[in-house]
Order: sequence, then structure tokens, then C-alpha cells
Amino acid sequence: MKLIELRHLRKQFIAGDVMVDALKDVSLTVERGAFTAIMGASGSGKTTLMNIIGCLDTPTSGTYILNGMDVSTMDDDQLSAVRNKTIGFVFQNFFLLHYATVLENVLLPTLYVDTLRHDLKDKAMEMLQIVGLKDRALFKPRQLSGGQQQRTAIARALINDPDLIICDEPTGQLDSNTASEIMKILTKLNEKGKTIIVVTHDANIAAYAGSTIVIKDGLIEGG
Amino acid sequence: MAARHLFKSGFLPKNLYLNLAVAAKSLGSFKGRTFLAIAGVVLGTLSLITVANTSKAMRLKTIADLERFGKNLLIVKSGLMQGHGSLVGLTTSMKLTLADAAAIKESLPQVKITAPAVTKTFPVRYRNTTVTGTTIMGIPMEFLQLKKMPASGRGRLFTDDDKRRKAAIAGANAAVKLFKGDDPIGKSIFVNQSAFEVVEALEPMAIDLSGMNEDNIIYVPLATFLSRLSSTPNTINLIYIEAVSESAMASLKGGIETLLRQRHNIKKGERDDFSVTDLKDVNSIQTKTMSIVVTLGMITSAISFTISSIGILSIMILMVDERKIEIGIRRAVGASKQDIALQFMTEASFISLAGAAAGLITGIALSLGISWLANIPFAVSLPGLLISCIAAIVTGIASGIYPSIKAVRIQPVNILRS
Ligand SMILES: Nc1ncnc2c1ncn2[C@@H]1O[C@H](COP(=O)(O)OP(=O)(O)O)[C@@H](O)[C@H]1O
Ligand SMILES: [Mg+2]
Repeated sequence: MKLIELRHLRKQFIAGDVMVDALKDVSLTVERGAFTAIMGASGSGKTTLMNIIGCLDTPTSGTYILNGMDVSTMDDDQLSAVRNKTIGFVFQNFFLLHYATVLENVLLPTLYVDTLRHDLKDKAMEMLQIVGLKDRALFKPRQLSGGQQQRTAIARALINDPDLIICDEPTGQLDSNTASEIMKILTKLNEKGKTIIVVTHDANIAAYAGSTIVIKDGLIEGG
Repeated sequence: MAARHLFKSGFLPKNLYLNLAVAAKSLGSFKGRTFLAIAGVVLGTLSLITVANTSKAMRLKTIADLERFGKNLLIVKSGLMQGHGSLVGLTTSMKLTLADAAAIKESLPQVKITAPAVTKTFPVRYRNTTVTGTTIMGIPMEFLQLKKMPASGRGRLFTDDDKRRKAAIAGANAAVKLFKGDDPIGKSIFVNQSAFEVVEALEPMAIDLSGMNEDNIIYVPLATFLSRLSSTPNTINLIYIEAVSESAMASLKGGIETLLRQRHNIKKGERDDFSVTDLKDVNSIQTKTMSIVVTLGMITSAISFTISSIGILSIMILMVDERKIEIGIRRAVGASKQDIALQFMTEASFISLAGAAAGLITGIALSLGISWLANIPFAVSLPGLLISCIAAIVTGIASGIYPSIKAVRIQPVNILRS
């Protein structure tokens, strides 16, 4: 079953008076439960593609069907709700709130959920257990190592039970041992049924994925 | 929709805690400005509350004073006038006589009651305690009709039988100084070698419109005063006069002045050796003074609120700039534009309400202090409370709007680019 379907996606940026075609004509499908790597040189359009898949940005033209919904026609509020429910984000720079504790960081996406739940803290602790950080719940991010910060970000990505987890260069700031720890956690999550997309330019990282898509100059190679 | 966003954006205790933690933390990095902004709200609220409470207290006091004296009261006092409306004479000459009082009563039809009175200070002794400089006031029985004495109820006020007796009524302060806790009623005090029996003690009255601290006075019957404590048995220094009606006040005042100038042989161009005061004049001067204070307080408060709005605005703008990444993260994990706007509005209101709370407490404390120092009742003005709360909320909202708009414009894609 398809989780993601992109048809003839284009994305143009206007930088000054030059028009940049970041994505030219991208069509691809990602099956539910897949573990996909996106590779490509710097400036090839990986982040642009991830932002659109992550509903942080909208395509200039083309169609994006996520989980059966046409998200390419949604407004800002609807996209916010989709991100909140369906997508978990892991960034290269972790992007944690430094004044908040690990636990509060993990809870952040729950602030924007409509329905009230009373077992949120237990749920967050469960997520921290999955990434092996249960004993660091009350630490501040700056007291953690890079790998631990990224694991916090993964727990945060999991808290609202999203179908899709997208990771843009998740190991870009980490040494290779830590990187493989992170990739093992992602593999484990994939085995439990999460659909995962990882952007990387490192073939060792891409090797954890079941399939790899290569992007070059805004086009999918061989696509 | 709105309710949903209120829910989502931090008005639930748990979320509120997180958002307030955020607010406090980020405010902490702009301590100077935050302090200034909060101080502005504190000052604004403080001046508003204090002015409102104090003016209410003054109003209550004036009403109480007017109630204690009859409403249509004139006071004639001997001596040159010091200033307009003041009852404190420049000189303390004793040129009024009982005959003056009788003449006023007889020849002016607007008069309802006259009460000639005389005051003088004496050392007063009770057992081994002597208090010097105690004001003894000789009053006729009519005085008790003009003025409601706050009697303790345990003794009795003067009756006609007391007219020539050596009886005394002790003001609250005078009693405290002299008796130091003993019950004054039934005790003998010595004034000018004469023993007076204290027949009643008074509750505190506070300084009243006649400008004397009446709590320090010991009252004795006028006839007793004139025969025992005075060497000039016809000379007095005060005449209290009640007019038949409020509309008769002005003509009565003029009539008294003409009559007394005549009786005292004051020629054209010479100054009066007495003054006639309408308690309403004193009252209206107080009201005028009060309204100036109220206006100044309102201006101070408006300026403070404006300054603090600008202060909060500048802090919030800085915070939005400093927290772009946080905004990006929150948007990425599902915050809508309204959520972000509400977050910054909450933070701005938080500063403002924190200041208002501090201003409220200090304002009430200050009004308490003023009421204690100025010997006026303590009152809390409800409109004052309401207006300051509204002003604080408006300040918070007004200064939160622009930063919220700025925060909402931030696009997560541009911020979170790796
Ligand atoms: N907001 C933007 N404005 C203008 N040009 C952009 C913008 N975002 C991306 N680009 C351009 O689009 C191309 C693809 O960028 P990006 O998706 O970040 O590549 P990658 O992540 O593969 O390094 C680049 O040429 C980049 O300069
Ligand atoms: Mg990139």
C-alpha cells in the first residue's frame, strides 16, 4: 500500500532575479513500511524534496498524495495538522529547545494535539525507553552528547505515533559509531512498521535502508 | 476553533507550565528590559489603585464628617483669617462674645441653632499623670444637637443637669494619654485646680473638617468653663451655627459678617477679626485638591502603561528574533500560525499581568499606609481594580500583537534548512 505518491513535482525558487529549479519533474512512490534512503550531491534538491514530503513546503506544481490525502492543495492550518499527526521530523542539527528538559522536548508535539490525553508523560517516557534515554528525562539538551540529543529528537518524532519519519542528514553531526547507533534505532522502528525516509550523502548510512533513490540536479536518476 | 486553540496553546495547566517556563526562561535573557517593562506596569497599576482607593476613602471620610456635623453648618471663629477656607486663625484673639452669639440668633432669621464655644489649652492631671497642652472646649448643650458625638455608650453625654457641673467628656486620644488604659468614665481629672468628673469617653473621630484634631479635646459644659476656667466670662472664640436650610447658607453667611463687623466696629477697608466658614467650602477645596491628585495619578498611570507597552513590545520583538528556530521547531511539530500567535500573546500578557499583580499588591499596601498616616478610612475602589486589570490586559495584548504577527510570518522551511 502506498504511503507517499509524488506526481510530476516541480519546485522553483526565486533567488534575486534568478529562477532556480530545485526540483524539475519528480515522480516517486513510497510504500507503507518502507525504509528509503535519498542520496545526492550537495545542492541536488534533497532538502527541498524532504521539505515537501514533510509538508513544510508546497510544490510549485504537481501532486502529492500522502496517506490517501492530496496534501498539495492543503492550506497552512491543514498542513500543520498533517505534520502533527502523520509526520515525525529528525534534523541534522537536532533542533531541541535548550531551556526545556528532555522530557518536555519529547512532549512538545503533544501541545498541538486536539484531543486531551492524561497519560502523556507515561507515553513520553515510553518513547525515551525506546531510544534508551529514560534515565536522562530531566536533563537539559546541553547536558547530553550529540548522539543522545539526536535520540531525544527521535523520541519527539515518535510521540504522536506518526506513519512517517523523515530524517534530513540525521547523522551529519555525529561520528560513525554514534551514527550507526542512530541508524540501528531507525532500523528497529522500521521493523515495528514505521515508514522511514533518510536523506544522506553517505553510502554507509544509505546501506541501512531497503532502497535508495538518487537525485541529481532536481531529477531522480533512472526515474 | 478559538477554544481549541486556547486549549492547544498553553492554557491547560501542563502546557501552561511549559509555556510559562519558556516565557520566564527567555525573559531571563533580557533582564534589564523585562524589569523596565514590568516596572512600568507595576507603576501604572500602583498609581491607579492608590489614587482610586485614596479618593474613595476621602469621599467616605467627607461624607462621614458632614454627617457628624449638621449639613448646613457655619463656623465663626475669632482671629484674622490665614487663608481661604482654612479654619485656622492667624491670631487667636478672643474677641467673640456670648452677646455676639445671642445677637446672631436673634437678628438673623436664617439661624436654626447657635452653639457658642470656647477652647483653651491647659495642663490636665489624672492621679500622677499630667498632660500639658490639652485642649479643653466649653460647649453648650446645643452643641450636641449640631454634632454627633461618637460616645462609647458606657457613660452619658451632657444633659441639662450638667450645665453648671464640673463634668467632662474625653476625646479618644486625650483619654489614652491621660488614663493609659484605665477606664476614664467616673474618674476625676484636674484642670486649673478644679476636679472634673469624666462622664463619657469618645470613640476616635479622626481630624475633621474644622481643622482640629478633635480626638485630643476634652469637652466641658460652656457655663462651667466660663466660670471656672476663664477670667473673662463672656468671651468665646467659636460659634457653631446651623442654618434653617441649605439655600439660606449664603445669605446667612453675609448676614453674620455684616452683623459682626458692625458689632466689632470694623470700618470699611479694615480686615475682619473673625472668619465665617462654610464646611462645604472646606469640603469643596478638599474635593478640588483631590481631583487634581486623581488627574495626576491618572496621567502617571497612563504614561507608565504606555512606556511599559513599548518596553514589552521591544522585548517581545527581540525574543521573536532570538527564538526563530524555536518557532520553526514548533511549526514543524504541528503548531499552527494561531498557536504561535497565541504563544507570544500569552507571554506578553504574562509580563503585563505579573506587573499588574505586583502593582495591585503594592497599591493596596500604599493605600493602607496612606489611610493610616492621613487618618482616613481604608477603602478599596472596585472601579480602580477593574480599570487597572483592564489596562494591564490591554497593555499585554497591545504589545503582543506586532511580535505575534512577526512570529507568525516566520516560515519553518527557511529556518530549519540543514
Ligand atoms: N529558499 C531557497 N531560495 C532559493 N534557492 C533555494 C532555496 N532553497 C533551495 N534552493 C536552491 O535549490 C537547490 C536545491 O537545494 P537543496 O534542496 O537544499 O539541496 P540539498 O539539500 O540536496 O543540498 C540549490 O541550488 C539551492 O541553492
Ligand atoms: Mg540539504
